[in-house]
Amino acid sequence: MDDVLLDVQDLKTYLPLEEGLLKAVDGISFTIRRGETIGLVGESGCGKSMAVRSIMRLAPNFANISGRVIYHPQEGDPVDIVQLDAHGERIRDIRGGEIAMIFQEPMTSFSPLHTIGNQITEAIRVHRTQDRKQAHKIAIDLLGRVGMSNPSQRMSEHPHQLSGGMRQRAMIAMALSCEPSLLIADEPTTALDVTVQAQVLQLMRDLQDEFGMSILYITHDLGVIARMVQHVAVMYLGKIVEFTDVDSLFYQAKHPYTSALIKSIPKIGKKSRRRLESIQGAVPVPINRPPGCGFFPRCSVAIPGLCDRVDPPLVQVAPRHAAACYVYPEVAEAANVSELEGQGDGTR
Amino acid sequence: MSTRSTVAELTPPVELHYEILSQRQLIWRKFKRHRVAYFCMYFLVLFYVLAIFAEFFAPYGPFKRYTDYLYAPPTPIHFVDENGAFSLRPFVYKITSELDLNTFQRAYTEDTSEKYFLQFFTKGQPYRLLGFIDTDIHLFGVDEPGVYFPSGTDGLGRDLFSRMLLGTRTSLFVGLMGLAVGFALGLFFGGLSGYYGGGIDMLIQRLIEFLQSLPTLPLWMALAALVPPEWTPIQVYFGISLVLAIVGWTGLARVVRGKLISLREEDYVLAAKLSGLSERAIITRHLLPGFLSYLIVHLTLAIPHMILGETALSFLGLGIQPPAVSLGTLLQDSQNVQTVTINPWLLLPGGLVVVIVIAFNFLGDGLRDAADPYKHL
Amino acid sequence: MLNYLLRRLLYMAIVLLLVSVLSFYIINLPPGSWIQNYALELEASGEIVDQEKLEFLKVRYGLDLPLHEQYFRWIIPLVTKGNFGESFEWGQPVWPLIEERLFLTMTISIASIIFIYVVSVPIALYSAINQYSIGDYFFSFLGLIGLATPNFLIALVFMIIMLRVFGVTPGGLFSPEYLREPWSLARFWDLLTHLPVPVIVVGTAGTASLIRILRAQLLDEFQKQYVLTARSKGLRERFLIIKYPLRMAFNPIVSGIGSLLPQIVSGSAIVSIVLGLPTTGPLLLRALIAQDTYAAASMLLMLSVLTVLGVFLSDMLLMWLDPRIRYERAN
Repeated sequence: MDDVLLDVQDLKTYLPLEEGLLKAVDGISFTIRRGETIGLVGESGCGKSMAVRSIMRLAPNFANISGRVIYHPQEGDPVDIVQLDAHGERIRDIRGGEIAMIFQEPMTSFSPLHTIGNQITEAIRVHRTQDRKQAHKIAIDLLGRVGMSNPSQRMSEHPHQLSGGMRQRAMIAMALSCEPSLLIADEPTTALDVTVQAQVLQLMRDLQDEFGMSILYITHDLGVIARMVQHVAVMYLGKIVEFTDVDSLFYQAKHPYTSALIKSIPKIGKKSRRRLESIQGAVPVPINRPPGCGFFPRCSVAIPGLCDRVDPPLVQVAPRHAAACYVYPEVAEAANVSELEGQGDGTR
Repeated sequence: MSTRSTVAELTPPVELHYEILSQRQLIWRKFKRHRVAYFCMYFLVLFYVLAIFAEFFAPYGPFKRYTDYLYAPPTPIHFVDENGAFSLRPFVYKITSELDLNTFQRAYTEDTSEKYFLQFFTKGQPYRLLGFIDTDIHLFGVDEPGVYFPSGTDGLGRDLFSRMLLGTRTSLFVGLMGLAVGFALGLFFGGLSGYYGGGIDMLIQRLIEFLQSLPTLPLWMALAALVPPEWTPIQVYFGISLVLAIVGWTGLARVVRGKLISLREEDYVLAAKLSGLSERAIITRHLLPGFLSYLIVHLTLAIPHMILGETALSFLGLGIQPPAVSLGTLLQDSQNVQTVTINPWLLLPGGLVVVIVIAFNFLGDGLRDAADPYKHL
Repeated sequence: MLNYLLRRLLYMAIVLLLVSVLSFYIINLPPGSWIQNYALELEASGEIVDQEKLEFLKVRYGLDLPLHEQYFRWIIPLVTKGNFGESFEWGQPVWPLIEERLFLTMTISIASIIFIYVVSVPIALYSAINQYSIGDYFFSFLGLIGLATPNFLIALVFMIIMLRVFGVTPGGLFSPEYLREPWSLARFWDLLTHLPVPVIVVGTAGTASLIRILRAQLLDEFQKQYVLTARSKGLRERFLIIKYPLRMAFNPIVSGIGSLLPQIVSGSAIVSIVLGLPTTGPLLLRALIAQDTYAAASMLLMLSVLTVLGVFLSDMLLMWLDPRIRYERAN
């Protein structure tokens, strides 16, 4: 555990809305080591984007964030990001400088009114150098490294003059401009064509080898997960329901949600004429959620009277493999539900 | 309890914690949460009721002159008499006037020797309710020779409150009339423009740009000058509605066109087309519901414009002409600053305009927020 | 680019031509003519109507000709020699009558627009940043009242307050001693000191609506992805709000001048009538009622020229500000 970069412990992001309390992120824990790539998978609305925004302290002002996000910088003492002032100096140093982020929509991620060059050098000038010319040079160099032709001309172009793939490359260049130790990629390839997607993914892997940063990769695309990451956290309704390495995920999924998710991937081969499987029902709205496992109403192996009462905790059920489901005795044991079963008061 | 319900209790159905609501239910739910807008809706309904039954709610006829009470201030209403005795029934004192020979102003004082109790469902001047029911019952009033002017009187001694009720009717319905015509024009041109596109769209867009680049008021003035002076009040009324509509339809046409164009490119419209749905079905089943809510919002926000337009025109003497009464013509009396300064209650119709317009704006805002029920979820 | 400019200018010329035809036609649409109105007026005041004089005036002003010929009698000298013709009512050339009034209308309009922007941009920014704060509610409420109150009512209330509190009748744009003076620096300064009341009255509605639009626009922009991107780069909040959302919100503001200008001109017309300001408003109203065709049509045309020019300028400014539009139009 010596080269831990980011240690997230029991992170909760609650949004008090008119309709009720939205538990967007409800107590997630994971760690990222230096140079490692972690995937965060889940359906849309499961809270994965809110989780990373909370890590960057970019969640809406009215959000209540609790838990711990310990960041271990290269030099200096670890900081708990949750305790920082969301508009303070330290978090601004971390943002862009130490933890950078790329977003899903390359079109809207850039301001349409400013040149690409302006928007890239801006970050460099905040974190690396005051010198305008030097910042310009760094930016041109970066644009070249992310594979853009004619980088010095690109600098003076506006976002709408670039294609989607090119824009995402520029976005990556911008994120890497200050050589961050962690890159958070929030579905960076979802909006791109499949071929462009493959190029961008390859680019990110190459750059990771070159820069040596860690990547937190958020996606709903299991195919991308298989190509990109070493460890995967599966999120469902604001909670991590399974955490394991990528091979175990695909071949020995433990949580019924993960299994269902993997079954729903279209397969090419003999049985391809089979009807595509889907998970029954829809994700419930996580506002004023009832107690119990969030997957209960959609689950085929649910235990009535248990799963709908007490939330299963995330517990190690196999070597380096954690799951949150009562089909594993370890989970029931950890939750102490054997005593609770008789009472049935539904407290958590 | 029947056996059936016991069985149901034993095996409770899996409880799903989400309900399926139709678009309309969602909108209504969201709208109700907008308290102010919800309140304004009822407020405006009340105003329309007051306006429709104006003669009943008015204590006097709008043209009845009380020559002893020119520019009389609003009559004070009392619950406690001069001896300190409390009366549950409100009453007014007799009003006497005296002409100040220096300023030629009338000074009105209360004569506490005579009091008149407020009567409800009292007999007063005969009128025709809704245009066909002959009656002389008024909601409230005082017995002759007592007078009760809730908002004072104008320079001819007519009860301003009664005239305001009648004026509200004119102004509210001129707004609606203008809206109806403008709506028809906007829907027609906007629909044409958005549906056919190409050359027709170009032409109509240029026309709209042209109309929008003209200063509104001079255009109104020019068009209103068109209304012949010998027209009857009813004709003038329609004429002014038409003028307001001719100037005001362009905004609506733009909304309709923009919405149609963006909707045409929605995937679900394409899907409907691909599945062989007829043009007509696409328009009525897919396009229309898509922008009906926007249309309603826009209409709500257009009414106050019409009302303000009418008021301005009538104030200038170009709109509704006396003896017809509208909130604008009532304000004509306050054109003279000296008069208004001495008799400030003459501005009350203006206050009424402000209140009505604000209510419409709030209602429109609430509807707009509600029209997109998924927006803030 | 040049192509676009040329097309734009041509389009403006066509619009103005249409305005001239339309206004000329509308003014003459009501039954009767200036001559008849004039005769009726004479009769009403008990004077003897001199038929010969009427006939003379009729021929002199071309009122015996068909409408389209009357139009050409007006428009041809106007376009070729800049001659606006003669006002029937005043019996003198139109241009000197309206020259100063047009200038004053323009002054009030421009001053009102400046007032509107200077007041509403900071308020909208404050309201958007502190959404749902007490200050936000206060300004929203104030704006709502400003929006719902007819211009002339604001003018009236203003005058009543002036009369009651200060015992003076506001009105006019000049002190008496400068009223008939030729233009000078002192006179211009005198004008500036008289501007605040009409400008505030004319600008209230515009300010209210601009605050609303701009606040909504800014709130919308705050939600945009690029703001999040900017934050994720570690920029200072204040810096990034000015650099991105405010800058973005400026485009609709600039293009808004186009729709604001006709409003302002309308507003200043009615306010001038109430406050008795020597702008085009009161003169236009009289000319329209009297069917003083040349004067009314000339004023309508000149007001349209002002607005169309304003829209054109705001469009050019927008193009300079927004690379997307520039890009679109260059192709």
